[in-house]
Amino acid sequence: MEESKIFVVILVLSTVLIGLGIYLFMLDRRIKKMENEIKSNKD
Amino acid sequence: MNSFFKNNWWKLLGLTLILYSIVAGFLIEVPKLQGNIGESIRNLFFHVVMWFAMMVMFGNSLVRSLRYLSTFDIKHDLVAYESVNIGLLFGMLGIVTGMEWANFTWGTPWTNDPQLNGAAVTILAYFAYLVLRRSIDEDNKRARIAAVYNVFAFVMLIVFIGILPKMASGSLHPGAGGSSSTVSSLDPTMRLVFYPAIAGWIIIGYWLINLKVRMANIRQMLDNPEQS
Amino acid sequence: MLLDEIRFLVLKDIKLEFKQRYAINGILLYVVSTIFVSYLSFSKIIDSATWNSLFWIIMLFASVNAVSKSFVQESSSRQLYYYTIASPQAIILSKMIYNFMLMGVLAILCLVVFTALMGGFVVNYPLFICALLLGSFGFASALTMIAAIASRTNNNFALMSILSFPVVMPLLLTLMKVSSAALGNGSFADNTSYLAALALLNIIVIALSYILFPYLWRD
Repeated sequence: MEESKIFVVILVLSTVLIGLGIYLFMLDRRIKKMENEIKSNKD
Repeated sequence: MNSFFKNNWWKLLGLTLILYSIVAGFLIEVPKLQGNIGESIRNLFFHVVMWFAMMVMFGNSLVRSLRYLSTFDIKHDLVAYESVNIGLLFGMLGIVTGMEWANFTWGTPWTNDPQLNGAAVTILAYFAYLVLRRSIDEDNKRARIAAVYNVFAFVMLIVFIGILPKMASGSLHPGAGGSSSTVSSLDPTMRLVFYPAIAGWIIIGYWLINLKVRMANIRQMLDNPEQS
Repeated sequence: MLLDEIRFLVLKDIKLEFKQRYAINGILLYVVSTIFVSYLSFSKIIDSATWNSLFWIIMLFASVNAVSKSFVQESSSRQLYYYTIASPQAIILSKMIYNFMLMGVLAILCLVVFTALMGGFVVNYPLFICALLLGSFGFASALTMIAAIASRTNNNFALMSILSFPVVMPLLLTLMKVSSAALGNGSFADNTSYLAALALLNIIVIALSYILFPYLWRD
């Protein structure tokens, strides 16, 4: 069994997950910015 | 930077758990089961995990619906709605991955198995929830009626996924015929990856709900400006 | 007090029905025409499995059809009147009982016409009748609740079928199992677990509806 090949799969999936995570954090930040904007507009 | 971690540590935890499940899921030793399942049993960490996460999402939706019915605070209804959305996301992923796995292992993407059919009907029930919501315009009325239907849908979920498969017997899908062979007799090594993975996906599910709820709130505030 | 309200409402519905014959005629027409269409399309003698599924499919659609009308008939001003004089639990229970009677008539009708046109495949009659009874009750209770939910929205029939399909599924599946046993020499004893499951489902649906209907009613 070529064990080394499995590492590629792990790498690919980890990349996918980390990419998704970064995207989610960016979304989170954008939403927080909008929330702060609205809050400051109210004052 | 520190306040970032204080507020968002749980999101990182969720991502880390899933990352762990990916790495460990491939590296640990898996038991040799009968049939030609082979290494693909590792799919347990990615396919079955979806179903558990989905059930938690729908459970959350039920809790929020009940809280709405007891307090009539519309915020609960919004969370219930988004929980159903994320639950459906996980459910659809579960079904698609299940079909892919089934096609690979059993030669066909779908069989006449009570668990599969039950899962499909449950997904349909929650899609019907979405249709129901879309057909009512007024906020409070929609929330009330949707909450009532949500209770029914959840009972259906319990019946279909928990009860009926135990009554039927003899199918390819593990866990039919009275033996909960996936959960209770799970190999201890696999359990080390399985449970953290579920926890990770549940956390991510809550994060997604959180994001969607906040977006909905923003959209609402933008639509009706200057509401105290 | 509650029982009096229920009895009053049920009698009212029955009297209304006899005057207008709205629902009965609709059911009659629907059942006869669908069975006739199946008769025409299946020119050879069909086997018991097909008989079984056809029977229950027709029962299902006829029931959805019939029950969906139960909440539509009354205009909104009259509904306001009901709200003031009767408790919501009485209303939902009375509608369920009325629909159950309707379903019973429907079931017998279905059985008679079906047997006449498609041949009598039923071997174990008591079991089948039991299944019919439990099935009618189950359909009535579940569909009444769904009709109550759907009546609060604008588009009635399509929504009604979408909503009722998942809720009715467990009922339907168990019913089909029991009746297929009745068609093929299944004894009564074998199937008691299924019958018990049917009864249990009924109870769950009724209990849930009893608790939840008041929330729907406050309009």
